[in-house]
Amino acid sequence: MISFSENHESALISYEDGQALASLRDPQGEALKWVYSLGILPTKHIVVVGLGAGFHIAALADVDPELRITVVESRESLISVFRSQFSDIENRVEVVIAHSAQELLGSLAFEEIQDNRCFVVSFRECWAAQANLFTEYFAHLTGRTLESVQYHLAEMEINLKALFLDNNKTLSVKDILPIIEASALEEREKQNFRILGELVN
Amino acid sequence: MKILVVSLLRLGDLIQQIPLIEGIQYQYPDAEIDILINKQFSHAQSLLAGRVSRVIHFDREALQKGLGEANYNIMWSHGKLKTLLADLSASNYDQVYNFTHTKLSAFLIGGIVAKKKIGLSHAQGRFQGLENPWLRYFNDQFSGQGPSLFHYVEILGKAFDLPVQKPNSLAAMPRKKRILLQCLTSDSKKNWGLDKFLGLKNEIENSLVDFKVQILGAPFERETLLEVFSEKDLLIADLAEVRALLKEFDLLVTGDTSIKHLAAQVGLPIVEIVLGASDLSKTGAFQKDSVAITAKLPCAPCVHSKPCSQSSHLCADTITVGRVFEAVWEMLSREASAVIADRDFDRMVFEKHFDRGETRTRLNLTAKLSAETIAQTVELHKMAARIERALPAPKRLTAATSLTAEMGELILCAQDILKSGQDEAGYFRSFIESLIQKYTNPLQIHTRVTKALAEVRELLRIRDELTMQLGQKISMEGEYYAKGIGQLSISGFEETREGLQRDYEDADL
Repeated sequence: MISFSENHESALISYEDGQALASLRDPQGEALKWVYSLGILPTKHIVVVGLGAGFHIAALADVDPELRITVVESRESLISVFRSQFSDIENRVEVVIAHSAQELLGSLAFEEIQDNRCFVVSFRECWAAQANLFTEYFAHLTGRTLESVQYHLAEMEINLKALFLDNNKTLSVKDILPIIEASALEEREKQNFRILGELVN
Repeated sequence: MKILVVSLLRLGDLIQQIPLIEGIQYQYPDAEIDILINKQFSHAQSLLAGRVSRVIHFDREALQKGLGEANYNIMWSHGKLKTLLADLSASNYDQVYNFTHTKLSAFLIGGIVAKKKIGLSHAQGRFQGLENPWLRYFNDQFSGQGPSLFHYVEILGKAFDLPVQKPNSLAAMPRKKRILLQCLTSDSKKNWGLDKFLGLKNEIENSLVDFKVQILGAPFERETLLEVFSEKDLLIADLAEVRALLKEFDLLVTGDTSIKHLAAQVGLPIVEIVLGASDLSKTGAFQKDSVAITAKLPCAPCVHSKPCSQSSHLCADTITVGRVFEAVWEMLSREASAVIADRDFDRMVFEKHFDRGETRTRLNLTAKLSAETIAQTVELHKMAARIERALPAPKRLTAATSLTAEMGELILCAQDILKSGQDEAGYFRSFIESLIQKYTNPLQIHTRVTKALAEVRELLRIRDELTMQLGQKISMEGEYYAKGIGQLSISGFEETREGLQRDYEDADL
């Protein structure tokens, strides 16, 4: 159950089943520290898993005004407080609600995130009871699950037989290489993957 | 004409490749030359000024991060790489040279659209370019475990038919009475130790009183050097400034560093202290006036990426200040030797073989071969004769019930060659390789060994020919007779069981 409470600085802190989704004492400081820990971001479109109280999203938006942010969340009721508390970044932050992995995989946002090869970050302090679900989301969003690999291979017109890969593990490029080699993909495209294979060796 | 050079090795290699780039410039004076280098060495770009039109970066670290870190999309690196390959292809290069000779570079060149690809590349599902004997030597010998007769730059120059010039030595110039010590390397296993360098500095200044010794270091090394040396002894300079400074000295004493390769390019004589993972035959300076001091230990050279396996830094401890000083003294008072070194003679033989009888190296007819070189020739002939005798006839191989029995003597020959250490140059390399390749039919072994033996015979023929040109004679007949090899009739083997099993076809071989 989601609830909200003001801290000593009148900032609204969200809770899930009584667990605070941000630091009560210094939510801004905690968020800023998190943003700095990310280092230089490699893409201009960033995906954050978990909206929570939203301070980390505001800090992220503040650090780079050019950044486009998509937040993936399952707790819809967090949105209204986030929008009212951080109205100045409303146009820069898209919040995608997915109640299950299947819903996420079927969404247009998922396709766009994959197509843009977005950098995905997580603010685990706000995950609370959603930790398992968000871990699954994270793997899907980074393209490292069987379903998302299938999506990328379909882009290259390769129809992957699901049994080929272990659907319980997070995948890497190394797992894809044998599929690419066995495919009818153009030789030059295969070279691209062979280079990647050498880089992970 | 537009040319791309792919150079994806380390900083020292990039510096070493400058004579090759100059070779391309010489051959195609109007060409626009671009170079693809690892982004981490972008600070060395200034060294390429005037030689290349554009330096393109290969961001290996970012690509590896994208592949290894969980936050990146699994296809992020793929996208980056695709963009790079598309940009390179869009440049419409007439020629792409592979100076790197790795699988990675071969795949990368395979992914670029260009009119001509020179060196190792990958196309149609296999590696291309290894039909060139020099590249094959690079692949089998230089990149393998054994020592190489040729420097990396020489092999690539020969393989790509580029005129590669060794710089004129500064040794012939008037003495400046200044010696430079480069004490630190990029790998602690390659460091001799600052205390020892201090000892060397004192030894030189005490013995050669009019010589001044200075300590070279990069700006980030200053603090470390000041722990042992005084500020007035230091010469702190970045890579771009060093090149000009090197010409102001008579000699450089260094470990395996990029500075060593820069010194080689300006012709500065070098004393190299070879430690840790440094492999002299592969990363030595490309110049005549250099001497290397090595620690002959079973663990040397060690593996680059692994820590030292010994309880102390044994290779550094073995090399004393006195030994390095002797080398410094030798370099400063050096005269050209009238004896051709074993290695140089082997180089002439292989060069003539790879270049199909032609060689650019001029034979110095006033020089002589050492007695050891002549004895080595005799040993090589003996080995070849033994192999020829041990090779079973094709019909015996096809009829054999046990291949081990038929091939046993050949395998023993190969083992003896490896154990004897007499063939560091690799005269019998193709023979040994012919025995370890997979086969589906015993006759395949015969064909491969016969082909390898033809190569061995050709190498020995060239060796004999060069010996004759030098006016020296190999008295093999006497040697053979004394040992009972080659000149005996077939009945000479009748005393042993093996001799009885052999037939005349066998003996003909």
